[in-house]
Amino acid sequence: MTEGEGFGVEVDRDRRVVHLRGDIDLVARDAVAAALGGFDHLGSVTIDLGGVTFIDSSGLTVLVDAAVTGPGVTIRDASPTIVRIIEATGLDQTLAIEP
Amino acid sequence: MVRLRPVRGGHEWTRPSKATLIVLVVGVCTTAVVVLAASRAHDQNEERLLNQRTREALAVLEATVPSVVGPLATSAAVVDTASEADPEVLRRILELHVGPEARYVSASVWPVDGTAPTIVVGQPLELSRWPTSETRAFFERAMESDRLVVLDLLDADPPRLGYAFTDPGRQATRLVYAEQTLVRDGTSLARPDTAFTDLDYAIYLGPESAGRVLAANSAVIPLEGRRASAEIDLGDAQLQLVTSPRGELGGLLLARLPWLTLTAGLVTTAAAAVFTEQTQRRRLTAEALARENAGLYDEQRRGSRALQHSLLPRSLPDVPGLVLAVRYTAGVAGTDVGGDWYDVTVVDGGLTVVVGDVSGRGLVAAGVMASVRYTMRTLAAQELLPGDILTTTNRVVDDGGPIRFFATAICGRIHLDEQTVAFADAGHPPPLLITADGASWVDVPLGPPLGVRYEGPYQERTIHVPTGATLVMVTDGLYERRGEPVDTGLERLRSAAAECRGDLDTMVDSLMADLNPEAATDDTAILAVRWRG
Repeated sequence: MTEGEGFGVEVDRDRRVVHLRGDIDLVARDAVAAALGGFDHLGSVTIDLGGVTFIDSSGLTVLVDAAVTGPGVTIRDASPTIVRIIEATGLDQTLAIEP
Repeated sequence: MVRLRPVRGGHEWTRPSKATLIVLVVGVCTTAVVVLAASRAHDQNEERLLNQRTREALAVLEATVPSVVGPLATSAAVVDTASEADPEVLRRILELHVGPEARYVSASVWPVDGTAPTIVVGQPLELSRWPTSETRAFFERAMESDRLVVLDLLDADPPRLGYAFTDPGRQATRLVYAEQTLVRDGTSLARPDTAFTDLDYAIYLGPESAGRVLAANSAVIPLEGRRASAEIDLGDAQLQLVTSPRGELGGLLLARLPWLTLTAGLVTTAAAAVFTEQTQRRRLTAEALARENAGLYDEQRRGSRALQHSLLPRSLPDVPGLVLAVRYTAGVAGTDVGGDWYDVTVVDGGLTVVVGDVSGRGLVAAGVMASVRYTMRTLAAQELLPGDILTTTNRVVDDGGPIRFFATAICGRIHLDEQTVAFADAGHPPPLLITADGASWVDVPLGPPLGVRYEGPYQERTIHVPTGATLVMVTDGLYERRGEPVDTGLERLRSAAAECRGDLDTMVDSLMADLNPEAATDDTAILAVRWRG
């Protein structure tokens, strides 16, 4: 688990889940990218956004990169606000979001 | 254009800080008070001890008085009672008290008229050198006194004291006179005694002010420094004893206490001052560095803003029937260049307008922005329609590598004659149409941002724009607030735009002022087009 200023990353390697908490922005980018980079490409990784309070375009870039060049990503537990951010940028066509 | 000012070095003298001066003043004052108190205590103690020692010394002196007076009194009584006695008897009595081991160096019996001694024992008398008249005057004084009469012979070599005594209460015809040689250290008066240890003293015949020194153990007369004084009677004369301590009567520790206190106080004060000064300087240095960093930060930000502006169109085309207005501000929080842009290209029968936003910040974002902007501009100049411009640009900018950035863009093709606009949208906030009826979002089919490996085409939607209406395209920096739902920000923008009156410049200025306060962190671009009425 990596603790930053306002964000946290927790990797559940067995279940292939990455839990994110706090603000996912430029500051969190590298930590999130490192967490996602730790998985092989043999299956999808679930990113649990249950604890995320904020995400900006830099944060979205990390998710998109993982989704299209990495193992494939499913987003789950995103708050309505964050789902709306993803929809507003048309990224719901790129990212798989579980209800 | 980076200027580094040197931080103040340690070798340069800088004025100590106010806090340090306060510490110094308080420390020195406290030390002074404590030292004064210690010094006063020491003084009082020394004074008390000196007075005590002086009283003891005086007691020793007083004890010697009977040994001076006694023999003479005895002799005088014998002389008087045995006025017709055998001179040899008298001589033997006197001899008892004369000699190197005895009290007197010489003793004598005189007739009261002072002419010449009838008996002299021991060394020649100083008194014998005196004229008879003076001797007689002295004897008359002695006859009138009922006590031992002391004669000052201190100027003789060696100095002497003369003592004359008559048996009181009788009409004597003769008197006994003796002389005593004085040893300067006073041993002729009193044996060295512990009472005088550690003391400088001077014994005066008469008051000290007369300066007739009987004995002293100090080369410096009168005694200096701390002194005590006491008097005793010797016959009709008075002796004054003046003492001064040679060292510290109360011991060295008490004597050094003020100095120890002073040293400890000053060392403590100095240490406190140094500590305070160091703390202050560290703070000042930190503040100076912070100011310097803020300055550098500011400079960097100004540089970034200059770069950003250089990537944006320098001027807007003059199009009949349309009014154009653009605004761009760099976010204040970051120093990095933002990726927002706007563009206007003159095309056949109208304009192609673009507002876009590259994710992230920094020079790379600015570079991506420049490549996306010029790609779209090139395609627009080739008369491509918005959907094709976005679809083609998406293929061009996506190199298949890791995704570090993406760009959102709204692209519109304005047909002046038809008064229509065809829009296509790659992940960007929709355009806002402001008419006399109010402000509403243009419903443009939304595709993903450019550069996220999207394979499909971008769809278009064409709208009709009534005369006098205004289209506003913005980047999210204008309305987005951290932690707030996107739609709340969008609605704030829409309702603010609906309230706007006046010309187009006034409108975009008020939108900037109302929605993008000074503290906005993101950069912001606005492009507004109004169809002249």
